[in-house]
Amino acid sequence: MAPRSQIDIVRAAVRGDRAALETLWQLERRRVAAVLLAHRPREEDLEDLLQEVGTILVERIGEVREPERFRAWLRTVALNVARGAGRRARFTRDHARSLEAAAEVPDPNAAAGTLRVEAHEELRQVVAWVRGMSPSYAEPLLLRAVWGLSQQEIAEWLAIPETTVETRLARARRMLRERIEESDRLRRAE
Amino acid sequence: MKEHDHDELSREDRLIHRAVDGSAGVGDWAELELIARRDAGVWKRLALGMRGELSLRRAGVALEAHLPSLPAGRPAENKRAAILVGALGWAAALLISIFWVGASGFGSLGSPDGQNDTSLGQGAPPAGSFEAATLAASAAWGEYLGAGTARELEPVILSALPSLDGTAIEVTFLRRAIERTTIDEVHEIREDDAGQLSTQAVPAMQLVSNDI
Repeated sequence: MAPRSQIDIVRAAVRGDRAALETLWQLERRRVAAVLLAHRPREEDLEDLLQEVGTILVERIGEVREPERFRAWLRTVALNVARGAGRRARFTRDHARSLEAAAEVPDPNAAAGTLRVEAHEELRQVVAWVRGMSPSYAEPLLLRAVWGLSQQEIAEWLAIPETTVETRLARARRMLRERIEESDRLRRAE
Repeated sequence: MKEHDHDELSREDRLIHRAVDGSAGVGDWAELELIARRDAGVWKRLALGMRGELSLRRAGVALEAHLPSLPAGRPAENKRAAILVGALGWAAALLISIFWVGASGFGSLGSPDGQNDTSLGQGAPPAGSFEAATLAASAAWGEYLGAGTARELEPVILSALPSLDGTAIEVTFLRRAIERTTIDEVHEIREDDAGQLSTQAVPAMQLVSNDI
């Protein structure tokens, strides 16, 4: 169940309040990003898809009859956009602003030189590994590790029990560390 | 990537997950230490988990800068009638419709004799406001109907919602009018076997219907 204040914001947005809709987007776009990252084809640009979801939100917010179910509606919209992108099968790699490009952002904690390059490479690789997982593992992991949602929030977002969220997170994290370990082993063997 | 859909999640996997997640309690850490006494490799696996987690958190910081703002546009104007009906029910919508029609004088406005002009159409409206535009449009509409060539049907309410400042109701409606006029002749469009179109005048007495 969405918090009361959020329901009020949804109601205002449904009535046509642009400012409320802006607030709603600020609150929800990270979740939408996680859905798109977990479900979109690798070739699709995340920012474009987020814009697509945002456009649908503006155009169709009036269709939300039950503000309490707004998040479920929004997730369905995001899933449809991701699947639609898959059907379009556009293999464009023009934009490098997806999550994999996160490595391009300077890391203030990393030392200069080789260490920094390796850290950025690992960042890119880790994100790629997560996106290579089944969406049922990738989405909760992205929501938890990237956006900091609680397990309870993730359970509500995905409409699954909290215990299932914990199990999926535990498995996703095991997959991830196994990939890192394997990568380390290969690197040492080179 | 190998997936573990059907694998049993070990106790160690769950404990490492909680440690990485930040949700491990004192008991979880104690259990991890017990496992580590038998297999020190658990600390390495925990470190690997932490590495992955830190990478994902840093990715989140980087990604934040690429989250777009909401596209421009007023939200969902075309769905407002449905919202209103959904919120109040059809009966309430009908009541609003009837009240609004009565209050605006549309019930008698535009009768063929043009005698029942609306008060909305009287006087020069103040410029530069939605109300002014509405009054100006009503005045022009009243003049048009007053000429006696058209009869207005009841307007159709498309939406009725609180105005942005909440002090009034913003109504969007469709105005309908039936006009009558006299013309010299009617032409019928015909298509021959070759698909060529041609027109031919139809004598007035041959018209069997007025549904033109």
